[in-house]
Amino acid sequence: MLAVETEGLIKQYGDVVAVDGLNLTVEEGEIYGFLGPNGAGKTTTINMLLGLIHPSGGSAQVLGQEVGDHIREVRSRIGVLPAHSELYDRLTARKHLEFVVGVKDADDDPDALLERVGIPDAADRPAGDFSTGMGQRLRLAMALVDDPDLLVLDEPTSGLDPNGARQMRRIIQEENDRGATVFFSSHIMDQVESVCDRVGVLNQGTLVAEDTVVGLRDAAVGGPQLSVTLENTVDGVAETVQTVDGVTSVAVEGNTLRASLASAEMKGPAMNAVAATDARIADFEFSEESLEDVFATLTGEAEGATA
Amino acid sequence: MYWTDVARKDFADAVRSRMVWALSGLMILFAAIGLYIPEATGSDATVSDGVGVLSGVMGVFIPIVAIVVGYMSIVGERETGSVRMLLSLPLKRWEVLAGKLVGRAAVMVIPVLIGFAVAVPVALAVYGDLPGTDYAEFVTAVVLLGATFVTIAVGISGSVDSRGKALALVLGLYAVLQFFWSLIPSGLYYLTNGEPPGQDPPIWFEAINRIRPADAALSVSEGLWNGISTSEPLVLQEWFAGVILLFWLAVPVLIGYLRFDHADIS
Repeated sequence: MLAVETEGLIKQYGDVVAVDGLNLTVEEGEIYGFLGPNGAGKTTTINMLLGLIHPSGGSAQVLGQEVGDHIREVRSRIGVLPAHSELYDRLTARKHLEFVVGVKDADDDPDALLERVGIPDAADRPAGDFSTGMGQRLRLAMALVDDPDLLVLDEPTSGLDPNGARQMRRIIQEENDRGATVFFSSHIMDQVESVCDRVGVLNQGTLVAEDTVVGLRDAAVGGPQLSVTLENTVDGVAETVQTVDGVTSVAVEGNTLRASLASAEMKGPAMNAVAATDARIADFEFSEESLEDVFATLTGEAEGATA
Repeated sequence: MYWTDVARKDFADAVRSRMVWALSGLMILFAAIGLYIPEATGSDATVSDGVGVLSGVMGVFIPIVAIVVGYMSIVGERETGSVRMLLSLPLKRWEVLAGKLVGRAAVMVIPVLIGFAVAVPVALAVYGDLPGTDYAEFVTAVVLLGATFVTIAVGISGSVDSRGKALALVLGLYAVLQFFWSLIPSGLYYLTNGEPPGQDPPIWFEAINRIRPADAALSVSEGLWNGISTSEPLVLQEWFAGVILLFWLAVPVLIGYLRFDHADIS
């Protein structure tokens, strides 16, 4: 079964199309990273999945139910960390959790949840005194109440320091190991790499890519690059390297030889091929396109990208 | 009964904000001072004069308190985004609205009861006695009026997407009901008779005046404690005021619910 499925989902505000015919599928049991720059339509999509805003067109199903009749039964199986949602300043962390536990008819221990998200001492402090990071941890704890089948986390790492973000990823992984489907959004590509089974990249309301992290990287333009600086110019080096399996192209510029590789594993054979000639290697550099670059390319944020 | 969780949380929030305590203090102050004023100004004042003064003050003051208590209830949570947390939980929108309504009504009513309970010994000390039925009737009217305006304010709060709109609507309605309403029957009378109404205005004149929540609440309370004035014309009998009060208790909050239920919460 699919945890989330949308077909041609549209949200229009006057002339502005926030979500434009979105087709999204999140398999049960996977961790799905929903990526895109700010304003791409991620939160709008999530709000539609939660029944907070009404779609202008298309359909969306969550845990097998149409979001139109999105009722108690479905939402009681979802844990949500909403973006841009303030806590109740005057209520303590414990009161926040007790409220969620009550509404969900759950029996979670607020202290255990706070311990898990790393703020065990905050139970009796009002949320108004919390730092941004602590607030985000409390929101996560609230989402974890009653071991939901589906976790919907909107920008979960926002406001967290690197350590907090790491803990967030660890909890996401733990929840997934327990069997939960995790659907989370982020505008920062690097954070998803280590945890996501699949990612979807949203730009201007449409999905511009949907793949595994590896698949996304492979599909990216360019691929890994090996750049070798030589002490002397020797004829035929480029030709020799070109014959190596997995080297897609070679270019020479002065003393520098640049080889595009089909995969990162090819850098060894390519180096050996250079070393086997009379050329002496002064320096070399290997670069792989980062996910951030892939992301920038996909969303048109890269320098020199077509306007 | 998940709305009770919302109501409890909302009330707890108001207690933490000290709103409940501030209102209780204010009510004690008003009740005690109001009852004492006639004694301070005239030598042969009775406790009935005290209740009369209170009645006049509360008619103006209670709706304002109720508006302050209620107008941010829903729209405030929309502005901070916390309503998205609420509505991501297994809560229906009517449950959020009902919980807010009950929570805020408690924030309104409990201080009133505390204030007027504390005023009882004050009245006894100053006047030596307190007519139980009259006082109960008066307190009932205040509670009804407070609850009605809380309901109106919560209904308006659910209808709009910004604090400014809520405030404008609720204050506009208050101004119309409190200050301009009496112009309607007077104007109509003048238009139809060419002169202002005299000592004995017609039934419809009085009936239009009683559409105001303050008058309806007073009339309903009279009916509850002193029975129905069956000799009066139908539209001036207390049960009819009950129908009007039910209208005020139901319609604004129903509109608020329908608009809240259809709203995009983003």
